Amino acid sequence: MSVEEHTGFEDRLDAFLDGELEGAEQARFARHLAACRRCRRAAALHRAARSGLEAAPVDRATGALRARLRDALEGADAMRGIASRRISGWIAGLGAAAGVALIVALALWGRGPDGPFGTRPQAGATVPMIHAALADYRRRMHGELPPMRTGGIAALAARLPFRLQPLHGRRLQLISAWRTTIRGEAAAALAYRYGDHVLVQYVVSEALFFRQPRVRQAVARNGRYVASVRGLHVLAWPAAGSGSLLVGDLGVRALQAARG
Amino acid sequence: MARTDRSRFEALALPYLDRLLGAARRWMGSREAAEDLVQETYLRAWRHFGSLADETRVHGWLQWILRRTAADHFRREARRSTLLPITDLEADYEALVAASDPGPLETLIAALERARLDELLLRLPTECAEALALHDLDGFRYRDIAAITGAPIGTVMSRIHRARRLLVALAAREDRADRDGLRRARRK
Repeated sequence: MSVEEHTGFEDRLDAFLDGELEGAEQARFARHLAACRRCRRAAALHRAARSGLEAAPVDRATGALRARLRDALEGADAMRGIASRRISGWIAGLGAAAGVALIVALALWGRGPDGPFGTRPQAGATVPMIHAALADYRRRMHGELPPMRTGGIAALAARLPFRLQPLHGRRLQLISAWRTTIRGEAAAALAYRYGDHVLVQYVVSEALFFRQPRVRQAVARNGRYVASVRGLHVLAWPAAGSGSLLVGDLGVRALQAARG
Repeated sequence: MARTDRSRFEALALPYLDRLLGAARRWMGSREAAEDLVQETYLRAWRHFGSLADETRVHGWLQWILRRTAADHFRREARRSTLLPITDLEADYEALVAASDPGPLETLIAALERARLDELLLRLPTECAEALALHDLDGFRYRDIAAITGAPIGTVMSRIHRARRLLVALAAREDRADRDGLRRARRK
């Protein structure tokens, strides 16, 4: 095997061994390996290195570490005020390590991961349509929700210039629906019970939905737009002739699950 | 976030505690510091659990957070115990693959003890050791390693290749040194 023939193969030896090459390239490499003694020798050594690492025993977390983690997570909840009823008794029982965990939790609270594994919610208040939907949600959640009108969803849909597509998530239960306006244009609001939470789906015209530059950019990229503003979260997606905004006090992941 | 979310988070994330602890130990060296790093990682992850888009990738997401948390703690170069003589090792490697017959080296490398493997990994260039550990110890595919480390997939491929070359050469050199030491001891 000449140097020229060999060039280009060696760098991909491990990708071949790990099954990371495309089908045709994998086959081409296998043919090269059959003809190249040097690569076969290298492959044997690299396989041995991989086997050694794969067979290495895994570190085991102790029960104490597991308990400490749960305490720290509990402490983090407490600091957010969610576990406020438990906090006084819990703090009294805190050890030094969990106390440190609380401080660490506070220090880290505002510095969050984004990047390749999460969809980092955007600041939705700067998108006028999102701002209007959140304002309506807050207003409605502080008062009594409108009763369902005679004729229900069908009657509401008949008064809208676009198609109304309610959600059919398994755990969603429609409890109220009303006509509203978002940015001065007709919109529908459908309130669902979702466990102990109330989620509201705002349905707007396709034109209004896609007029928002951030929304259309996010939809072009991810098929959806997500936003979080002061404890409320929004998941928005386009449909045929309309756009929907699902608003609630649950995280984006939970909103996705609710949407079904 | 509600308690049900916490339960969900724990159910999804805690099964990877052992794996994260192993990665943290490779970053930090000591078990105690590794446990602190793991705790910080889980707190960060819980805080941002709502932004995790794909639950099937929770392990990669946790490793990614751990990596960022570790990087916040110290300059990575500081953890290397010795400067690796890369050029010499490359020459050793070339000699090994040029040898006409397979020797007992494969068996020796495949049977290296965990402590010895940890020492060898610690002597590799950081990025190479990290990519290799994520693949061979934690079972990630190249595309996941690219996501965790923020490197292009071609770079991941190169790092793993280089890491195995250096690991093989290092193991061979250590084996030679052990045998030389043994011979000297017998002569005395």
